[in-house]
Amino acid sequence: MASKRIQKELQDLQKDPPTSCSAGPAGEDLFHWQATIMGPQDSPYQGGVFFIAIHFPPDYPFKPPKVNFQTKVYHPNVNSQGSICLDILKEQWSPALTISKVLLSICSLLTDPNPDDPLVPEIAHIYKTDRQRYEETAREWTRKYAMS
Amino acid sequence: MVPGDPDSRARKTAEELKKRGNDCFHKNKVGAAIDLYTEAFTLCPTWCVPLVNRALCNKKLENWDKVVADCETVIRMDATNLKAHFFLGLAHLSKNRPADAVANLNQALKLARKTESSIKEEVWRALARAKYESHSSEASMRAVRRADLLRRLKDLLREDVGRRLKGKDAGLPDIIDNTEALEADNSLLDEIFRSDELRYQGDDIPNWCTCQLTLDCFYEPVCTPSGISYEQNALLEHLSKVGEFDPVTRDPLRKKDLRKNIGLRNAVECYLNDNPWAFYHAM
Repeated sequence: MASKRIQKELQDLQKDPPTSCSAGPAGEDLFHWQATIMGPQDSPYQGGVFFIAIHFPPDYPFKPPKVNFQTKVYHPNVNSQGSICLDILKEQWSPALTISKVLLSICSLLTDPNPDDPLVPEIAHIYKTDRQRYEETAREWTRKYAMS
Repeated sequence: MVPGDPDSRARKTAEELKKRGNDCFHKNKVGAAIDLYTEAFTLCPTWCVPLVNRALCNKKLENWDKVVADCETVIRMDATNLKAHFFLGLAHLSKNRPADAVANLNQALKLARKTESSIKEEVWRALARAKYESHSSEASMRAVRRADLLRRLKDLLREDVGRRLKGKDAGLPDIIDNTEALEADNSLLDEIFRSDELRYQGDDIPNWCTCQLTLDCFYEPVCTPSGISYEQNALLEHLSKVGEFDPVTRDPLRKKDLRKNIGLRNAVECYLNDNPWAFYHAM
């Protein structure tokens, strides 16, 4: 079922692409995709383009896809390896979710970080105690790593 | 004692031969299997199982004419033989006779549903393919006829206007009126022909026809207590692999809570039959 379902998702994405993201196979392998997300407006990531690697497990959609940032992001829920702490990619996964919905969730995670379930506690602490410093650093990283 | 009687000696020997045939088939010795099934059938010509198995061998070798011959013999002996209808349908499909394939596969699907056979889904996919191919050939013939008819109609209209203007001493206003009327008629014709063309093609099936897990057309939908329907096999896989909850609402869900949604199944089939291009999404 996995490859058929991935193919369907690809068709749907091409037919009706979401506004702020894009995704598709990185090469020949249908199970390995690359996606891009535009930094959401009204967030310190605005203006940046973020690359994301997606790996589909062989029993997708009954296991969640592995999703990692390839672009460095200063964010409480994204670590330096690009791992993302997002419940729907772990215990809250449901096969009714699609890559399109996952990417939209990542967009809203960029707008609204979740400092109470952080992957990088230091950034979460700054986010909670010194919002301005967090925003400045995030903007700086965006300029440095997500714009070219 | 008649030879077909399960207790007769001939039948016992035939069963032994069939068993050896099956062993050969599983070891991929298809030619040897065919010989053993042939021997079994010769010994006991009223017992159709060896013949069905021989058809399976020939299907594997893509000897479609032999598949057709064996399956037709079996169906004459037992009109409710699921595999014979299925293999015959596949043979027709491979020999580019989609309309014949549809007839046999329809029969096979009915039988598979009645017996809850494990090949039910395979039969459905093959039927969808047969219906799609049969539609495609019809659609391309119709496209040729449609284009030809449109051209002829437009020619006739133009000639008609020419005749009308020639009959009298037409002034400029007459010519303008007639030309405008001709243009209006032509665009109405285009519109009418376009809607016929669209009936034969489409690219998107409505969401209610598709399962949120497979993203594919439903063929055996089941309904959960939340009122959402999913493809049966995909939902069962979800319950065993992911967890016992409804994939969309996340409400607790057990296998015993599921009910077949026959109404939806019929509605999807009805939609597909009205929009045969959509069978592409069910293949």
